[in-house]
Amino acid sequence: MCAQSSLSDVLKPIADARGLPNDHYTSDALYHEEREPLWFDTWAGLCVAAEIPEPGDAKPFDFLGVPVFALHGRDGVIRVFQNICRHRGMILVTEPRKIEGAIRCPYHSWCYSHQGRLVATPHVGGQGQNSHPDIRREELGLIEVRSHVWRGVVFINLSGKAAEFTELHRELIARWSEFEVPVYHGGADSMFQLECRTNWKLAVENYCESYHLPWVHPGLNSYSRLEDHYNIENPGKFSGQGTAVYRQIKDDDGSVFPDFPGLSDKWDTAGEYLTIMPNVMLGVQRDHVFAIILEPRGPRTTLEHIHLFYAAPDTSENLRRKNAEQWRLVFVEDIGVVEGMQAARGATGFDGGRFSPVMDGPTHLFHQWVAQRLTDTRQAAR
Amino acid sequence: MTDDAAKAAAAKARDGLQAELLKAHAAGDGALLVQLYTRAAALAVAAGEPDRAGFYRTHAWIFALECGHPDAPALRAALAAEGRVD
Repeated sequence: MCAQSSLSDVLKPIADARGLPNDHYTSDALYHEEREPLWFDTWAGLCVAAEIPEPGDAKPFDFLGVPVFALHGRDGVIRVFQNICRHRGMILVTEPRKIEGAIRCPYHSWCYSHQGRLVATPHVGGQGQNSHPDIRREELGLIEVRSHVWRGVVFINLSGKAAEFTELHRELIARWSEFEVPVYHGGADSMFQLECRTNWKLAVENYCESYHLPWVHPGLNSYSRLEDHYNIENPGKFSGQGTAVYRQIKDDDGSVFPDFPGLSDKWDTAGEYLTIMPNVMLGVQRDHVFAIILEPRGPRTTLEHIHLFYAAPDTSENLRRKNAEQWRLVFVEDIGVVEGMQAARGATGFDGGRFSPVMDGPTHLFHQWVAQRLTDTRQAAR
Repeated sequence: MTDDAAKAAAAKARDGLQAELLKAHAAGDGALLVQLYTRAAALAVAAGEPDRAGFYRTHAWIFALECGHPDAPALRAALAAEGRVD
């Protein structure tokens, strides 16, 4: 157990609470301890469906050390499987590729259907004998990981212990019910990655609140002032912020992206930005939405996968590029902050810091979510 | 054709097939592998080597499965008829 782990301070009311201790951002042991309660036991973002757009498309992922792959099946269903053959434990999919027919293990060629069913075990009973009574194919299908696609994002629940996605996130789905319409990924020009030398939690924390905007993103203030933002808090599920002064980006000729259909007047100028814990940061506005999926690569490195979605499949390429560049600039400005906080986690005198009771509510909620789930897991293990 | 001549011709055919198989493997050409392994199975049947034929037919079936080849069901049925798959 780590000496700095004093999670009880995090769980206090915001006025008295402190943030997570330093080692929650730097320790390999705590990074590993977080996997089950913060990642495997709930719904975490893995990728976007647009990364496997056509039937047969498969893509492997390292999900906090667990190899998985997503497959767009011939039946049109997106499934996620643990990336392992049930025979001798070989990795099945090593790079993004098209799988026209069966998923064939490159080692001894056991084959699986797109539904994960084991369909062939060549020579398992000797040369040219492809069955054996002790190798029961019906028991040896791929290990499917629970998955759910929402707003173009593929979520997974590795342990299978979470409530249904639609139940767990009922409030958020209701909150954004007006956006329950088709969203169209902008394609190659609307996805980019940023590698940050920071713990994934600092990226979430930075996304939770808005009052760093005038300091870190002075350019944003021309259309997004501090007083026009509000906190959004749902303990244990999501937290973030909203704005009342969203303005559409315009192309050189003044044209804009089409709006999502049927939005109420509120969304003429509103935008909301939430983190679905642990790792999916979403933004919604009248004419486009985005998702940032955080991929931790150890306690000190995080890859941010940013994806932009639109209301129509055929938006202006020029405007999409302009929009992606605008967001890239904003998110790059955030890198200095999250990397700076990470570097400072080496300071032995830091006690987790404090939260503004007025401004840091969503950030504190995230800390509480982390602390509570870790505490519950530790208590259950006793 | 004498027996020796027939054996020499069969060996030449096998060598040629072997070279084609290596090329197809290197190219990752699943459909061609299905075709070549099917031909190898036929040669083995003609040579009176049923186990060797089963080996080749198994490979034809597996590559047919992998590439979604239309021959996959027939290859499986042939193996099943020989008691080579349940």
